[in-house]
Amino acid sequence: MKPLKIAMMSMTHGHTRKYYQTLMDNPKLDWVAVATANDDVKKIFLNSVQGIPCYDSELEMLDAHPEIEAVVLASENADHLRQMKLCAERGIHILSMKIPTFDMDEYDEMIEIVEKNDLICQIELEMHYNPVIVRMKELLEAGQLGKLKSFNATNITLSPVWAFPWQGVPEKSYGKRVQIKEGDARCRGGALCDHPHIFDMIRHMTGSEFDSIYAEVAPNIRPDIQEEDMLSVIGRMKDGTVFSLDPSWAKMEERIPVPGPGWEVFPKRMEVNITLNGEKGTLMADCFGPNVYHNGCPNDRYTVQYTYFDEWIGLIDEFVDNIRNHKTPLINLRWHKATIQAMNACYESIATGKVVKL
Amino acid sequence: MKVLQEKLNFLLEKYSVDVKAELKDEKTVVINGVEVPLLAHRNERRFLEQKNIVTGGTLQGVSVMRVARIIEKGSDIYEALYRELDICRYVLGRKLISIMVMQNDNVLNAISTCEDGVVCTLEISATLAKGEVPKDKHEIIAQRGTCCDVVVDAQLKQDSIYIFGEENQKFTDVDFELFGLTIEQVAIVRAAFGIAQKNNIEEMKTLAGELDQLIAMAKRSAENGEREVL
Repeated sequence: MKPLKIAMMSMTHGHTRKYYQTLMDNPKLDWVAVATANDDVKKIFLNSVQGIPCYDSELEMLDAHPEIEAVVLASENADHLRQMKLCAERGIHILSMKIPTFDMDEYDEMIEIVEKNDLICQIELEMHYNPVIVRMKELLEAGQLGKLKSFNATNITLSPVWAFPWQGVPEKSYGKRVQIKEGDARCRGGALCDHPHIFDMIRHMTGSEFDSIYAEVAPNIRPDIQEEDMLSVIGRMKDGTVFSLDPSWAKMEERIPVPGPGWEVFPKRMEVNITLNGEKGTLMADCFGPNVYHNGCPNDRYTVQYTYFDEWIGLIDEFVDNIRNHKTPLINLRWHKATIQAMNACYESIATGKVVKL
Repeated sequence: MKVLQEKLNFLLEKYSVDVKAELKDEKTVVINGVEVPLLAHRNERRFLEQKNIVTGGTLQGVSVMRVARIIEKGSDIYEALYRELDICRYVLGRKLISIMVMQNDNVLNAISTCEDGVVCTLEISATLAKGEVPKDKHEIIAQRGTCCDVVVDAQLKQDSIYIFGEENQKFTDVDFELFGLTIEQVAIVRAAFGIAQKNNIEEMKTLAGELDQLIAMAKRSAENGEREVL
C-alpha cells in the first residue's frame, strides 16, 4: 500500500507529541511537513523531531506540499472549523483532536463540509485502541456481568493549562466566554473540555445513548485559573444504566511550560479507572498499568512512571485504512456528536442546578 | 454479639467506666436503658485519620470528596448510603445540604453538596457475591493535598498478612486491645465504648436524625429525578 502523505497543523494541542513516534515509525505513513502556530511550539517541535520541514503558516505548508493527503489538526478547539475548511478546499482528509467544537451549529457545518467533499474525518479518541478497554468490552459482551446496572469512571489528570495555555482560555477551549453559573466568576472551558473519553466510552460499552445528566462544579483546586477544574457528573442512559463520571483536573502539577519529568506534584499524573456493576457482579479496571515507581530526579518525589500503551499506533492504522479503503471511521463526526451534546448538557446542568434530559 | 459484648465489657472494666452498656445489634447500643445509634464507622481508624488530615490543616482548600462502596448482593443500598454520607460529613467536618440520586435497582450514584460548595460523590452498588468483603475507597481532593484510604495507583486496599500455601489466606489486624476482631467489629465495640465513656447520647441521636433526613431526601430524589435541598 502506498504510504499516506500526512502533515500536522498548529502543534499546540497537548497530544501533539504523541504523534511524533508513530508518524516517524509507521511504514504506512510518509510524514511530509508541519505548520506551527507560534514560535514557542516551533521551538519545542524542532527540539524533538529532526528532518521534517516546518512552516510558520498553514497556507505556506499546503502550497509547498500539494501532495499532502491528510492532516492531523493538532490545534486548539477554536481553530478546528477554520482548519477543516482549509483542508476540505484541497480534498485533504482530517484527523481531528477530541473536541471538534462545542458549538452545535459549527458542528453541523463540519459534518456538511466533510460529507460534501467526501472526506474522511476521524476524531482522535484513543481509548478505543487501549487493550484494557478491548478486554472489558469483550467480557461485557460475553455476559460475564449480566445486564449492566452502572458505569462509573474517572478520567482525571493534571491540568495542562501551563504547558498548553489555550486550554486555560475559555474562548479557545470552549469557543466562547460563558459564565459557569450565576454568582460564579469561572467560565466553561476547563477540565470537562479536556475529558470526553468517558462520555464516549459509556456509549461504546452500553450501545445506548444518554437520557439524563446532572452535574455539579466544585471549588477549584487551582483558584487562579478562569475555568472549572473539579466537577462531578451523574446520570442515566436510555437503557437504564446509571453512571458517575469524573472528568476533573484532580491531579496537581508543577506549572512547567513543557511536559516532562517532574510535572507531577501528586504522584500520578493521569487515571482512567472504570467500574462496571452488573447483575452478576462487578468489574473494576485501571486502563493504564501496571506501572513503575521512583523518587528520583528532578524533584525526589514518589512518582508513578507510566508504561503507556501506545494507543496512537492503532488509531493511525485505522485512519490510514479508512482513507485507503474509503471506510467510515469508528469515531466519526456523526457518532461523536452525541458525546459533545452530553458534555454541553453537563454545563447546562451546572448552570441551572437541574437534571438535563437529552 | 456475645464476643463483641465481652470485648466491650473488658474495655468498660479496664478503663473504669461505670456505665451499663449493652450492644443491641451492630447499629445500636443501650446505655443505662436508652437506645443510642452507634455510627460505628466513625471509629474506623482510617476515617479518624482522614478527619484529622482534612480538618487539622494538613489538607488546605478542600474541593471534593469521592466515595465508592461495593457490598454484597441483597444488601440495602440506602443503608450503605447512610454510612457513606455520614463518613463524608464526619471526615469533612461539614454539613450536607443537598443530594441528587440516580438509582438502578441495586446500584445508585449520588452527588451531595456541603454548605460551602464542597462536593461529595457517592457510588454505591450491592453486586458482590455472598461473603465477599466490601470494596471501598474514600478520597478527598484539595487545593493543597489529596488524602485517600487506597494507595496511589491501586484499585483495592492491601491486607497486612498474606499466606500463599495449600490454602491462600489473608489477615488484617488493627487493634491490640481488641485482637481477633475484624475492622468493622472493632469499630462497633469502640463506638459503644466511646458513647459510654463520653455520655454523648443526645449528640449521637441528633446525628442519626440528620442522617435519616438526608436518606429521606435521597429516596425522594431517586424517585422524582430532582435534586433535593435541605
